[in-house]
Amino acid sequence: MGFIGEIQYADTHFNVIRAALMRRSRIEAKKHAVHLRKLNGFLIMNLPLEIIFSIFEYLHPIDIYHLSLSSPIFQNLLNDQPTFLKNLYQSHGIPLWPLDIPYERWSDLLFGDAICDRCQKYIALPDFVHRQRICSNCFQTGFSYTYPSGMIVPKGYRQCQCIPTPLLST
Amino acid sequence: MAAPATQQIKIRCNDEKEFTVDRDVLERSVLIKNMLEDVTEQQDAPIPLPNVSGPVMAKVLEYCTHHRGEPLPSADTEQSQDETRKRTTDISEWDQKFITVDQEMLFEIILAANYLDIKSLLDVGCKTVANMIKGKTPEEIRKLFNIVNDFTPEEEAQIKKENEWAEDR
Repeated sequence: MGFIGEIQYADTHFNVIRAALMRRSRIEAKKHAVHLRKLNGFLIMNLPLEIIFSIFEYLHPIDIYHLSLSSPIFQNLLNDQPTFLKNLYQSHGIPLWPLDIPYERWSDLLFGDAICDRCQKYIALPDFVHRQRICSNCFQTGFSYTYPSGMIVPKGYRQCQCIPTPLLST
Repeated sequence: MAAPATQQIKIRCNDEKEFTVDRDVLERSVLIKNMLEDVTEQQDAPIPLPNVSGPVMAKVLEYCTHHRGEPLPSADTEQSQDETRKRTTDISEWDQKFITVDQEMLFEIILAANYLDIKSLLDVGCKTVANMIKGKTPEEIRKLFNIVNDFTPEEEAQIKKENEWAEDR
């Protein structure tokens, strides 16, 4: 457990962008904090869908990502509305997901824990070319490389023009 | 000779509670405004509002009375707001104080504002809920809405698995 500024490591799992975004929106929300008594039951789902989505329109895509992680009800609700998600991403200037990967994977890549997808142990930055998070350890041990012939590869250079092929499928 | 601005209108909520309100206050609600425009002759019978309860209506009327006389947002301004897509969750100080109620009341007010078609009140309600969600981790959201973590460990593993992009190939 440690802190970057005021943010706990455990809360953000080393994803610096996520930490910065959450810090900003926490400060913003604090300005207009309303102290309400605790909610009894899952009242937000009693609202009509159009109102639920007009609430979601005020949120940042990172909040939408957290919502879908909090409950399968939200997850199913959001996955059924790709147009809404697209508009939200565009209005916040966040690039849309490429066609070859699903929305969940993309939001996980952007806002998820900065932990290696393979070993789930070490910190790994998102690799947008390969669309996954691979720590340097796994990158060297878990993949074979197919280099284009005649290509000069500097020693220790993390190749991004080659396509890593997983040696093991988990 | 009666001045239409001070005309008193009676409304009746679903719990038989009746309110007598100035017409210009009630006209903040597009639903009632249209209703009153359609009915030309003077009527003494109260307007029935079957979807709103007395305590909620009292709160809504408090809002309408405070904001009486302000111009209603027209379709044009709505369009230009949509174009900029600049969504802020700023709420004015009075509105913030007004909306500090318990959560059940907050959701009732949102529903009433939707039914009565009071756009500004609906916005305040939605922004308040959005501010509650903003910047929270999934665990904090569960606490906020009192959701039990109903992802089973298998389901959570399934999500992880679905997200394994490399496997999709």
